Amino acid sequence: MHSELKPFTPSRAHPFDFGAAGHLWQRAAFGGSFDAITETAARSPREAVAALVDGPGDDPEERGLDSIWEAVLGGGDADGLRAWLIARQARCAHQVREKIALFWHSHFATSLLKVRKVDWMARQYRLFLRHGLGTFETLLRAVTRDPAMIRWLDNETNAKGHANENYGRELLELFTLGDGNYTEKDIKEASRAFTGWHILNDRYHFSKTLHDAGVKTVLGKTGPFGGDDVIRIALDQEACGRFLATKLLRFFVTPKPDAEVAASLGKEMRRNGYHLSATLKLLFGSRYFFDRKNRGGMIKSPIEYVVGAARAFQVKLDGGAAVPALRHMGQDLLAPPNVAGWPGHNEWINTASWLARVNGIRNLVTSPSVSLTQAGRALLGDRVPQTEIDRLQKSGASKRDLAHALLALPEAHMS
Amino acid sequence: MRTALVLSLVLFLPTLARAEPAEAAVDIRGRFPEGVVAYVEADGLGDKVAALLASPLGQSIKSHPAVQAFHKSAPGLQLQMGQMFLRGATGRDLLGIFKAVAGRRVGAALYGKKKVLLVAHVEGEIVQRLLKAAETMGGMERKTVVAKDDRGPALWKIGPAFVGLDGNVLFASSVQALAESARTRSGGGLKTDGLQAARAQVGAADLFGYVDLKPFRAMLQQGGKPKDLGQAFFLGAFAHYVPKADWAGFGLSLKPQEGDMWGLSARGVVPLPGDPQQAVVKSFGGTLKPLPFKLPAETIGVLRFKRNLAALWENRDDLIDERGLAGLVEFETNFSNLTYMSFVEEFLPNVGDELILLGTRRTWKAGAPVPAVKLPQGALLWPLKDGKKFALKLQLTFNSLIGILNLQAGQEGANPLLMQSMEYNGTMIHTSRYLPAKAGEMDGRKNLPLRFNFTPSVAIIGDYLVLSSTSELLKSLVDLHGGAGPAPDRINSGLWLEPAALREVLKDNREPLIANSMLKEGDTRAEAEQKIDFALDAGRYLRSLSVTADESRAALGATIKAVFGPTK
Amino acid sequence: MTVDRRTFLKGALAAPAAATLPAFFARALFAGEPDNRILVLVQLDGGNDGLNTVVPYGDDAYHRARPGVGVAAGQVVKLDEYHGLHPSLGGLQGVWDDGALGILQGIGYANPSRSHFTSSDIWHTASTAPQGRWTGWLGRTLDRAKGLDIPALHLDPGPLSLALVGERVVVPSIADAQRFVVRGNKELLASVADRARTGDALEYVRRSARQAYKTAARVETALKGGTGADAYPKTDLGRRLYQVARLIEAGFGARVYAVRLSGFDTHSRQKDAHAQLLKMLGDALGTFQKDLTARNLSKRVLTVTYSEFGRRVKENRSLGTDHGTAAPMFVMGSEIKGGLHGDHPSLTLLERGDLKHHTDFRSAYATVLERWLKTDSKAVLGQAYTPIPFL
Repeated sequence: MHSELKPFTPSRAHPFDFGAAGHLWQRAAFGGSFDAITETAARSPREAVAALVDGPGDDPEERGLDSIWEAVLGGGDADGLRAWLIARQARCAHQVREKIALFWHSHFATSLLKVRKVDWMARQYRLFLRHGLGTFETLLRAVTRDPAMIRWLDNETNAKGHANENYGRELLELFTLGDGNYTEKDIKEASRAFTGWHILNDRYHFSKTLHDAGVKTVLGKTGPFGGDDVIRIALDQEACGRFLATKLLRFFVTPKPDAEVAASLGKEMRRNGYHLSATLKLLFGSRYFFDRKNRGGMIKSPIEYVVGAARAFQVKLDGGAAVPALRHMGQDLLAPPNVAGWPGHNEWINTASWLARVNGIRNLVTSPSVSLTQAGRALLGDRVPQTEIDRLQKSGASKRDLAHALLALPEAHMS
Repeated sequence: MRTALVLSLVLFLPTLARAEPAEAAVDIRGRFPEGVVAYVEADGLGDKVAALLASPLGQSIKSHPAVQAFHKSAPGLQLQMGQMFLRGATGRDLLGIFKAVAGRRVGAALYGKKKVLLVAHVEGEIVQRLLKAAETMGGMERKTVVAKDDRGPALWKIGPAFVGLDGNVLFASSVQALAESARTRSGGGLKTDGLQAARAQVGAADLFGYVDLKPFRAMLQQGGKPKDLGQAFFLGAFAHYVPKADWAGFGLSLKPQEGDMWGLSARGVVPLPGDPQQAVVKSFGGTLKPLPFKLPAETIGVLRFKRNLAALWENRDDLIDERGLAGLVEFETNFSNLTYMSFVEEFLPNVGDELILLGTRRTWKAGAPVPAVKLPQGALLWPLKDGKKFALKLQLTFNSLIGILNLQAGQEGANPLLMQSMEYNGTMIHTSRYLPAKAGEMDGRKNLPLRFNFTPSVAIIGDYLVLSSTSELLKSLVDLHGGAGPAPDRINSGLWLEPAALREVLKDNREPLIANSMLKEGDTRAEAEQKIDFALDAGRYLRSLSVTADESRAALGATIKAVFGPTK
Repeated sequence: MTVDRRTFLKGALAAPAAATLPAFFARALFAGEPDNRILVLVQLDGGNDGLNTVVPYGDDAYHRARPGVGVAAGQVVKLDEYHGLHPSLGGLQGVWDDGALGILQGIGYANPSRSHFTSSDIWHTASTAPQGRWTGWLGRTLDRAKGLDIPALHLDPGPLSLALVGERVVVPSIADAQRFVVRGNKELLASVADRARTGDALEYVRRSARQAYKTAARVETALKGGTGADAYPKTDLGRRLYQVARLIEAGFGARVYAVRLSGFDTHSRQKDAHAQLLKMLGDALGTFQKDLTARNLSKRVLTVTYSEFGRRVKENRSLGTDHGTAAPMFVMGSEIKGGLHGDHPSLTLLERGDLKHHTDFRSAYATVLERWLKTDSKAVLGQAYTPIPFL
């Protein structure tokens, strides 16, 4: 294993302090409250990471939100579902699960604009919540059978003798291996294995008559493969571990992951059977994760920004207003811009989206319910000197303007 | 607490050390100079409020758990302490103080931007005691004398207001000249024709208001004419006359009624021009007849419009704006394509002059799955001159519409409707329904999707064309046709609500309401439940609600009536 | 999934870090470039009646086909002995006289669609088989001009025009340029973005924030302090074109501005309604061009109008006109070759009662792309089209 992936051991020079604990909350979760971060900082990094990744046993907020699931789905409206998802991100205690679900949503990048069925999109997102922290193979097998995915990548028209290569291509290029790690022929052959994977009565349906049961050669392996065989073959590739590890690193740690760290993390993933919660524990507990060069250097997505602000300020979020505001800021849940998901990083910020952020947050997250100092610390950790916040508080501006100014600090848009 | 008390009760009242004259006939109207832009007057509110509080309804509200809980809360206790303090200062309780300050006649007039004059018939002595109390608490630092008369100081400036007390007449204004004028005037005032006419049209009211609309005319006319047929139809004469009116009057009355109920009614009027345009009256005029249906069980509300569509069509150039007119011809073409008849030549001459919309609560079969969001069912009823003539065309139209919807559904993988026509108790009805949800659609849910609230249906019942959101409601209307429904009195358009049934519909949807509160307000489930249950419970006080429009030769009026009653 | 999409994805994944150039680089890039020309696109939504816009008043066939809705020969704004502008387009007379108005005649495409939806998509995507196309011709153009902060602005309350949808560019669609104004305590907000930062991404965010406040301030000053608003007609289009002129003057930085005038679906009693629409159009465009000249911006701005289709030659029974095919486009600017380009389509040699187009709309696009925006039109349009010599 790469030395950077070894467990982070706090030292006098690199303590596991409020700043480091805040970093963990920002990246692994949607940010924490001052109290939660303080509590985390009192633990060892290993315990803190395990507690976050495993989550608490029972969560009344989650029970409450689950209890209205039928009502949300029964309303049939996409913004209602979006508000429900955002409420989960803002309020559920098992934060890592909500965060990894958002990662998978961007990874599989299915859009309501084509699928056109809110309940299908809901069902797909629930797969991310259910299997997001389990093994990638289980998740991928479920997603491949998911009606929203089948429609999104046109697998309904993938039939014996008339292969539609859309799913086969994206499976290899976007979901498992990445460009350059397969040939056009692999795509053709892999697509044959998914022929007949259709939808019937709103469920996955395997049509034996439309399935091509013949011998295929995919990534060097030959046999009468079915879809699950192709998934397993893809997952066996070294490239798959590296590709997924790179994406995880880009989402959780740095826009420019070190290639050797990524390769090593990929190897670990293949070794642990692509088990996400094991992988995330390793990653979040690593020296690489806590390295100062990887702290405070990522631009938050609009969801991370808005939800994180509400959590740091300990205020209730109006989901009805948050959904359109997030859309203006450039992140419309259930409608990623294209098959590659949200590009993220620098692309989140331009003049229009910056103004949408600063204008939008003013009405969503007003005065904190905790002190401005605690809210600021939870939001910014040790990334903004306390003197700066003190200076702000002495400016004589109104409480609301002060809160707004905190949220308009460039650091508040970073984690 | 001290500051709050002073601010809320006595901020603008001065301390006065004047001899108090004997109580005489007090004419507050005479104190107002002419030229009001708007005027509001309350009369005898003190006794009304006292009677309401003493009534069973008042008692019921006082003993409501939420009110009791408020008394025990911090602000409730603060209020009680304030009350004790005031009782010590004045010898009166809060109601007594209200009666002394605002319980008789109070008038307020607007003369222009930020030019307000208020005159009240008060109990001068109580006001003086209040002021003294305020002064001892230090709320009057910014008081200066601006005028004196032979009895001493007569006008003070307190904060932004000029205030004086002349015996039992209290006056206050934002403008010194207005306050001076109120101090020195007696008799005359408020003689404007519009104001007089408004008072006559509004009639007796506990609260009367008047607005001179002439300064606002440009603003009122900015909206222009109605944009389409629907707007013109529903807004009726109001859209036409309000922008032309010289004034508007309104009144608010609170009256005890039978069975411990209290009625609150608000009425607004605008004048009709001396020679009302015949076209408009013909299109929108007339009064409603009794409903030829008995109301179905658990009716939530009925909405009725007396409208002459043929006359409206004929006068559309006057009543609808230009762009809307262009759209009308397209509408006409679409109408004939869809219904196989000419809108102008066949439909209009045969359609009656009323439109009825009604909504009822829907009851669901016990045990069977129900939608998560349970919508009420609704029907639209339109009288025809000869119902039989339209029977076949209605069926064709219905077939076409469902066909178009199904074609669209087929293209989008959405759910098609299954049509069925049948005879029901001697009436031919055309219904449609969705096929049961696909197996996969019900994965992970127990309740049905929203669309199962609808089984769109149509029929001609007697001489009524009836469109209904469900076949059940349509069938019950077939059964209820011929019975006599409520008979409105000289009403042109109206909405009658049955709060009890509406509350049942909201209770059916307690879950979605809780979900909405959790997502919109960010509440926890417990908080949301508390909010929704409180609102549903508070709704029990409301027993009926109606909004009606009426007309006479001289005025066009709208009335909102609400009846409240004690809860058991 | 189109080929464009695939190519984009590969590019995006291969070089994720090179996503967009920060705005401040972009500005530097274009500041040094003398050729920062601007395109203003005016969509006439609903299918503008081309025959009553540029009227072939000298043709008896016109008057025969339109006894009810036609414009009498004596009323037109005469362009020559055959062509005249609708009398409500008097506002364009001055522009025509200055040689700054070009009329591209007989524009359309083969196998025309009469659906508003499909035909608009065809015009916007520049593809006659638009199904499954996700990008518009200008979106693709702007994708190529990497690094613009706000590459284009759609000033309309409706959804973003498909013409401006690209693979990577994000074009704001706003009802009013006022949306670019900062809400809250501006000084305090600016002050917290002002402190120098370390770290590339943080510095990028800080500079973007400062850029945004500067832009917002410029927009605010441009809209508030601006003069000349009174000269514009008091219509939505007039107000938006005024805002466009002010934004250009204030150096807002967008290369394309798109506005929309709706209501051209004149199936019935079209005379007044159409006249009113053309008056809005002519007055607003005429004022805009005059204003650009006064502000010394006219050399940099090209204005183009288009509509999804024209209308049938023969009027219908409701004194209106139904969905048709070929129609003229207006091009306006001091740098163009004014006058008529191409013949008026024949009013007697019709195709199922409709005018036959002789010039593909993509020829107009190609001209704009090659000769105005200086872009490879083939890369945007998929093939080469013969330019129209108005530029």
